[in-house]
This record gives sequence, C-alpha cells and structure tokens, in this order.
Amino acid sequence: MNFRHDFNEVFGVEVPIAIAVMVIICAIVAFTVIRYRAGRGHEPSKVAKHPVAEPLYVVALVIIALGLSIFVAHVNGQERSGLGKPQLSVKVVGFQWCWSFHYKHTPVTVTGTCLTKSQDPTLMLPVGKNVRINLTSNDVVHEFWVPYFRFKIEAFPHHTNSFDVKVTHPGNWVGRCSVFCGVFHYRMDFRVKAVSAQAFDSWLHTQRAAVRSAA
Amino acid sequence: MTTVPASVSTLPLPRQGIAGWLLTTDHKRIALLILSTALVFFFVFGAMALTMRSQLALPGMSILSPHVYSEFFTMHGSGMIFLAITPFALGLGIYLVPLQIGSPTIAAPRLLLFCFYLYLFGALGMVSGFLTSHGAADAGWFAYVPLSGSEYSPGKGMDLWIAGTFLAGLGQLIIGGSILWTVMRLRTKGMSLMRMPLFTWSMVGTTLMVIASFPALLAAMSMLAVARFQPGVTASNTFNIAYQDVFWFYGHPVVYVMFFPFVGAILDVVATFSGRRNSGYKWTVIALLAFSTGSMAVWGHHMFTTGQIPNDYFSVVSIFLIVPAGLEYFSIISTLVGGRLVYKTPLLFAIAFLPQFFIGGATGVMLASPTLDYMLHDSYFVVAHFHYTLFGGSVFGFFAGFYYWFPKATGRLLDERLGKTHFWLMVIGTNVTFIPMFFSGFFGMPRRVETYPPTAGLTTTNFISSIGAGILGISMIVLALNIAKSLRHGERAGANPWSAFTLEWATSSPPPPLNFSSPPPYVTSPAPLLDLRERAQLAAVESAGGRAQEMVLAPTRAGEEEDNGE
Ligand code: HEM
Ligand SMILES: [Cu+2]
Ligand SMILES: [Cu+2]
Repeated sequence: MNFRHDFNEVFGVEVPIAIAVMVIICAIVAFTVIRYRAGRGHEPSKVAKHPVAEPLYVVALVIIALGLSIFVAHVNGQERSGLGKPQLSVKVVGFQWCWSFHYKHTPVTVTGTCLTKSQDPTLMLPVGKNVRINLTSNDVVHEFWVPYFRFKIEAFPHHTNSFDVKVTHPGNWVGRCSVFCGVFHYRMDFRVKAVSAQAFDSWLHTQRAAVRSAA
Repeated sequence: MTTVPASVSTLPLPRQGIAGWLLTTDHKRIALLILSTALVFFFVFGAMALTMRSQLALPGMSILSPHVYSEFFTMHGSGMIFLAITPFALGLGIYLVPLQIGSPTIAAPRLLLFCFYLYLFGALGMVSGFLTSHGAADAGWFAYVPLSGSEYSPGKGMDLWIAGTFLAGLGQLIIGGSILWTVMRLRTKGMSLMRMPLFTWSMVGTTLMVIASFPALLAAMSMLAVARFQPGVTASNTFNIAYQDVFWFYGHPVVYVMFFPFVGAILDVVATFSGRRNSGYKWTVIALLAFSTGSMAVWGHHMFTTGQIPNDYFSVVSIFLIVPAGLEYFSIISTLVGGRLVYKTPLLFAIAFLPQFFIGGATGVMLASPTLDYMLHDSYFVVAHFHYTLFGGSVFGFFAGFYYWFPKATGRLLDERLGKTHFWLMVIGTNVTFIPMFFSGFFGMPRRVETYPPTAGLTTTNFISSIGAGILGISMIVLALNIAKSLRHGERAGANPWSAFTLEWATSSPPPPLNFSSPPPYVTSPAPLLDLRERAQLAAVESAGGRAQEMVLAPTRAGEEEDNGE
C-alpha cells in the first residue's frame, strides 16, 4: 500500500510552497497597507503597465504550473502502476447502510449492520500480502474511505472499481463511507484490521469452518 | 460600438408604485429585485448553516433529525449556489454593465424581467419542498443518481427541487445572454472592448461561461427527471456516470461564475481607492478570458475518485489555472502598491480577499492533485476549500462591491462604522470557522454527516468552527442593521462619492430611468472620468489646448479636490 507514501510525497511539496507564497502575499499586502496609506500624503503612481515584469511573471507562472503538473502526474502514474499479481482478492460491497467483505475462492463473507460501533464489520487483511479489492455497490453510490490509507474510491452499482493494497504492519483502523448515500450515511463505518499472514490464515480457516458448520 | 437603439426614446414612461417594480423594464430595478431576493435567500440559507453548525458543535447532538439535517445541507448548498451567489453575480452585472458602458438600457429587458420570475418561482419551488410530507430535497446539491431517483428519494420535495432548479437555471442562462449582448452591442461612443472597465470584462468572462455551461445544468435536471419517471435507467452505470459528467460540466464553471464578477468588483474597488488606473489591464483581460476558457475543461477534477475519468488530464489542466489566477493577483496587488490607499469599507473587503482567496486557491491545487484528492475528497477539507473560495473570496468580493455601489443604487452611503464592524467580525468569523475544517477533514471527517462520535477526535475542531459560525451570524446582523439604518438615514451620496473613474459614476445616484440625463463623455480609456479630470487639469496648467490630449504628461494631483477621503 503506497498511497500513504505518495500522499506524503505530494503533500510535502505542495504545502510548503503554499505556505511560502501565502507569507509572501501577506508580507506585500501588509507593507503596502502601511506604506501607501493616504495619510502619508503622497500622490498615487501613474504607471499602469510593466512591459517587462508582466511577461516575465507569466513565464514564471507557466514554469511553476508545468513543474507542478509534471510532478503530480508522475506520482500519479507511480501510484497507478499497482502492485503486480494479487495474492488475495476481496470483493467489497457497499449498501444502504453498511458494507460486506467477500473473500474470493472462499465461502467467507463478513458483514454487519453499522448500527452501533460493535456492529461495524471488519475487513481483515494479511500484513505484507498484495490484496486486490474489487469494489461495488448494491444500491446507490457509496465511497470506501480509509483515512489511514490516505485513499478512497467510489462504489458504483453495476460497476466494479479495483485497487491494490499492501499493508506493511499490523494495525486496526477506521473506515467510512464518504459520499452522501442517504439518511444513515453518517454512521456507515467499518474497521480495517491488519494481522500477520499466519494469524490471517487461521482466522480465515475458522471462518470457513463456521460457514460449513452453519450449512 | 453604436449605441442607443432608436426605440429607446419611444419607451413608455415608467409605471408607478408596486407595478412600477414588478412590471419594470428598467435594468436597474430588475437587478435590485434579483439582488434583494438573493439577499433574503442568503440570510435564510445562512440561518440553516448556523443550525447545522450548532448540531455539530459537540459530538452526538441531535437538534435536527438525520432526515431534516440532510434536507438542510441540501437546501443550504443548492440554495446558496443556485439562489444566492449566482444571482448576486448576475444581478451585479445587470445593474452595472449598462451603466459602465454608457448605455441607457440593457438588451432584451422584458425577457430579463421574465428571467427574474423564472428565478423567483424556481426558488419558491425548491423551497416549497419543506411543506410536503417527505420534506424538501435531501440528496445533496449535486444529487447523484441513483440516490436522487424515485426509488431512493420518493418524496415530492425532490421533484420540486428538480423543477425549481431547472427554472432558475434557465432564467440565469438567458440573463447571461442578455448581459453579453448588451456588452457587445450597446457600448457608448469611444468605448472599444479594450476600454471597458474590468468589472464589465469580468462579466464577459462570466456570461461566456454561463452560456457554455448552464445548458448542462438543464440537461442534468432533465436526466434526473427521467430517472424519477423511469428508475430503471439507473441500472446502467453509463447513465449514472454520465450524470456526474454532465452535472460537473456545469458544476465547475458555475463556481467561477460565482467568483469572476466579485474579482471584477475588487479590481474596480482597488483602482478607485488607490486613486490610480488598474495596473496590468491588458494581462488581466487576457487572464479573465483564459480563465473562463480553461474552466470548461476541468470538470473531471470533481470525479477523480470515481475511477472512471482520465485523472492525469484533468489534474494537469486544473493546475494550469494558477497561471490566470496568478495574473489576477498581480493586477490587484500591483494596483495597490504605489497607490494612495483610502481605507473605506469596500477597500477593506478587497484587501482581505487576497490572503483568504489564496488559501482557497492553494488548497484547490492540492485537491487537483489526485494523490491528495484520494485522501481529501468528500471530506471536510473540501468543505473548507470551497468556503474559503466562496465565502472568504466571493462573498468578501461581493461585499466590497456592495458597499461600493450601494450609494449608486440608493443615493445613500452605508454607515462606515457599522461597515467596519461588519468587516472585522466577518474576517474573524470566516477564519475561525473554516481553518479548523481543514483539520477536521484531514482527521477523517466526511462531509454531510449529521454527527460524529465522541471518540473520533473531531470535537475540538468542530467546536471552534461552530464558535466562528456564531461570529459570522453576528456579523450578518450588523450588516442587516447597517442596511436598515442607511436606507433611511444614510449620508447622501451625490453622483460620485468615491471620486471613481468609470461611467456609472458620471450620472446621478440613483441614476434616472434611462441612466444618463446627458450623454456620457466620449470614452478614451478604461478610466474615462480620470481622463476627464486629468485633461481638465492639464488644460488649466497649460492653456494651450492642443497638448491637452496627451494624458502621459498629466499633472499628478488628479482628483484631489473631489476627494472626500481622509
Ligand atoms: C485555482 C483555483 C481552484 C482550483 C485548482 C480548484 C480545485 C478544486 C477541486 C480539485 C475540487 C474538487 C475537490 C473534491 O471534491 O475532492 C474543488 C471543489 C470545489 N471548488 Fe474549487 N478550485 C479552485 C477555485 C475555486 C473557486 C474560485 C471556487 C468558487 C468561488 C471554488 C469552489 C469549489 C466548490 C463549491 C467545490 C465543491 C464542489 C462540491 O463537491 O460540492 N473553487 N475545487
Ligand atoms: Cu455514504
Ligand atoms: Cu472544480
């Protein structure tokens, strides 16, 4: 899962630039407000054109825009390249108003009601494995957001969006629906839990056994 | 470049009384009808926002039920965009463009009056949803299908919303046409395109975007109507994603429609209160046109997380919008630098616009970077972004224009002390409300949630935001007091209280029905009244008439004697 890495890479460039420009603008405005106040009794300037500065400034802006967009598109491409062949596939379905997680090639499906915190379903993931998530919806558009992953993507009915994640260490994070999907949108939370590959296998094994004994 | 249609002189005398307003063909009255209706809606939908902020102040509160909360944010958002800020933008244009270009009238005034009624009845239709049994529309201002289809939103409120939005949008589309037509055909003598005031130029950009993009709103509403009669169509992903494309094809340009006229207002205001011509006029015009062209090509940046749009293309084009945006900043700031700044309320609003809108624009660039948008999309970060642009930017620009042109429209100045109180409360309120929202979003708060759990770590930022919203509420009360007081007791304005340079100040306040009782002066630059002043002084200094045409050598004490500033 390199969304986090890619996010930090771009954020770490754009935020400092934004702050620097903000400081420059505030400094110029503050200076102007004091220096050119009418109370000082000067005359307004008559110059309305800056034939050299203006084109230079346009060129500078174009260069900044060009640099920024190349950088952004580059990181974007790096993110889209994916993780190669998936070692596990999970089908995630959003519905009004909760989620279900189906592990491919197994009978295991985890779901819940999302009515209270304890009824939020948990998406179990093995650490260090490439996981392919296939996301869709049963009714309206939902959106699968795990803030810790720094990633979200919409779940459409009659359409599947896929993405790959690889969690690098164990953890337990909140996930939520982020596109408005009806009255209980605000509590359509789920959990993402990453455990070691062995723990994951034994969990999947117990789940399978549970499904079989129920049948 | 000519001018007065012959029929003008044969126009019937204006009607009196209420009918004189409701059946008027005077562009100024139509504009005032639109602007005052929009101001009422601005207060109504603002009150809804305060209610929502009260609920979000602390975790787990339930002032509004989840259902009513959804109706409130839907009506707040769609109402502010369709019924308050867009009408502010177009209303300013209807009032000012004919005056600024020295025309006695606007093109197609009867049609324009009809548009006011389209807007009014569309607005009433949208709001009347509250009277139906299911309540008002509750699918958010972009009303994605299938959620807004009849299967998932069965109430009549949604139908009323669609019909109302269609009517209001249709009215605004035609208004755009009328303003652009006026600019193209009704300019006074000497007013070439490159001698138009920058506010008028900003309306050219605005109306071009209106004409190009508002049909997509009508198309989107038609798609919604289909989805409500035939919910089966939303079984096709193509229909659902096409709706998003069509909606945002309108939805992005409209955010610039809600922005341009206020930049235009600020450009005029900074020139006037700096006592000099706009710096970099030509580049500003180029920037406005490039901006409106570009705005048609970036709608997909609202859809990065659909997985069904070419992200690289939309990201690159969106980031390139910093070029025209940067040019506009250059023009505003370089007009201030070297000016003789008179700190009346309009200038204060214009100056606060600069850092505040920058925060909006810079976070816009972040959102236009897909890797960041994957985190920030549909979170409170986006809510903060667009409130910095729309509130910290556009609404501040609107108030700059409001304080600036109020005396023109009413003949009375607004009170400066109340104006400055309003201004400072608004600056504090805006930043206290919206800065914490960036953090709420970053900490994982989705937009359009009616509450959040106490364990989510969102309490502090939300509490601060709600306090800020309270301050904003108070600032609006000050504004209302100021309007009420000044309409009756305000200082008389006279024709040109600010010693401004453009033609709307060359006539009485308020202007007569046909705008100019004597023909406006021949226009020689974007600042015709300044030209006159400079020429008069030149003539006074040198008594030789021939050299008076050369403004380059104009002496420096222009406008001094009329200047009632400090
Ligand atoms: C350089 C300038 C700007 C850029 C690059 C920019 C970029 C963006 C992007 C990428 C989004 C989508 C965010 C998301 O949903 O994840 C967005 C949303 C938005 N922007 Fe901007 N923006 C800019 C200026 C403006 C201006 C001038 C306004 C209005 C005055 C504005 C109003 C909005 C609104 C209302 C939304 C939210 C729409 C919604 O999802 O409901 N933006 N902007
Ligand atoms: Cu949702
Ligand atoms: Cu946009």
